[in-house]
Amino acid sequence: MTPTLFTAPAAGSFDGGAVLSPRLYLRLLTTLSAIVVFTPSLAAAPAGWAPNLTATATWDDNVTNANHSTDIIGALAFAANFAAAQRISLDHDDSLVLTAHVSGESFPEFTALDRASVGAQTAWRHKFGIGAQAPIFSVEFSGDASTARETDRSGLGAGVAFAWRQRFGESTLVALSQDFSRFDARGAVFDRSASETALVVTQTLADRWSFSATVRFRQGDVLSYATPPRPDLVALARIRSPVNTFGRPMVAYSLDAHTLGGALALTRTLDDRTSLALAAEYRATGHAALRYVNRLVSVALSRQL
Amino acid sequence: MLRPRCASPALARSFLFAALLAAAPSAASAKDDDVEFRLVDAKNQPVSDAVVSLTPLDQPAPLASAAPAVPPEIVQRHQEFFPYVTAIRTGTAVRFPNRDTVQHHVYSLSKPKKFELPLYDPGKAETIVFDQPGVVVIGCNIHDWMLAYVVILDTPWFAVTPTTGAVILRAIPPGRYRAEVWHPRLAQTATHELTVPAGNAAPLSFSLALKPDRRIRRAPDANRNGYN
Repeated sequence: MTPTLFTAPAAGSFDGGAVLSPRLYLRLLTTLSAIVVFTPSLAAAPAGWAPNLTATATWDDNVTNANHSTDIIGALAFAANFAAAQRISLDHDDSLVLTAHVSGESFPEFTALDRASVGAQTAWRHKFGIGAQAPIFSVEFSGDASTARETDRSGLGAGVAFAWRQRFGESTLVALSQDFSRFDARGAVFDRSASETALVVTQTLADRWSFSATVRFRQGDVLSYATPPRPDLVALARIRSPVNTFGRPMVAYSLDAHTLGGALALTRTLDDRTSLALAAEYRATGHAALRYVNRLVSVALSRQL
Repeated sequence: MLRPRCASPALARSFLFAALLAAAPSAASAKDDDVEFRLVDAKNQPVSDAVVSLTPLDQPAPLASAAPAVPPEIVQRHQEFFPYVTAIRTGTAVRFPNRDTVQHHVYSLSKPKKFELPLYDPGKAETIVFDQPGVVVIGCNIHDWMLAYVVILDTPWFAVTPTTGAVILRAIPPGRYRAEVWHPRLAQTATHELTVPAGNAAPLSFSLALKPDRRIRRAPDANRNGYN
């Protein structure tokens, strides 16, 4: 599941908090990246757990999901995710993978959007045969609790995902997944339900480089922000709420929309436990007359501890 | 000096995994009845993890002597196989001890030896006899990046190159031989016929055109979270 992929920024009550400068956040990201790279392997980690730390920086050119140029605001976000997975064999072909994670996301310019979450997943996997090229089918159930500076954004999420993954030859991996997710927030405008279909093709290029292409289709709730009055959005919105998340009065409109997205990523394996990925993504979202576009660029560093 | 070459524009690269050197001392101590192999890639870098062998052409290879007192091992540790490449004589038994903290599912789909050690707990050590010559690819059905090779040979004269790319085969009787070099990233085995004289034999130098290394990577994909 990728619950944050199409998550729209939120509105609602805001507890405030210290506003950190982008420079300080860059320092924090640098520090976190250094920790990721230089953290020694956890030789004493509990048997079978596979702890993993990922730090990501993402630029979204339309964090407000707006379709009027005056409402379009770009934002930089930093995220960190620590996950640990345990595999339990059930029989020759079946296994359970239990995963726990803690994650945080920070928007230096719009700290109201900062949030942290903790969650767990249970996945049943079936491998059809022996070998790296044998296909794998999995069903994953997940649950998350998240807390946000903008307290109405806090809430509980749950999801189920079905995935099919198969390698072709030495260097091609194809993964097809279907997710269904639900998030219940303190503020009703932040509730969201969605289904998402994703196809990811990853091709090993040479030595330590790989390239992946992703196509996603999502149907579900999104938040679009606009400066009122917007009678067109009022007519479309399931629910709306005034917000000051972006330093000026706007209204968050919750809409049931469809999104088509495409992403390209280039990954460099730095060593046996570390990789660096650079990705670019384009998303087009529509609902009746509403159309908006997001362009995202991200860099991610991941290390198995 | 003999200088067989495998011409190809492919980029070359040697991977310095734990190399197995079958009792071959340094190249500096070659004697009259020894044959030295020196392997480099297209960038003139030493090639490790290559199997070199000499097969007699004028008479059958000597029968295998008794099995090694200590059978070769392919160890599972830190979710990797060690060593990466093992060379053995046909009929040799190889132990597969799981010295890891997690289960493995060791398997081979290769024709010379198909086998499976499913749900293979830490502390276990199964033994597999490799009774057909050829190359056997060993994998783990849980951890796709785990990879090892067993090269089974019908000759007693073979070795795996260390990181220096140089190795000596000892006490080779005079006569005609087919020298062979195998490497996981060679498109096909490199061969060369030679005559080992009664006296000092010139070193065999091979320049190998290795394919790009496209092994499945262990590192987590920064573009994707989850258990690999």
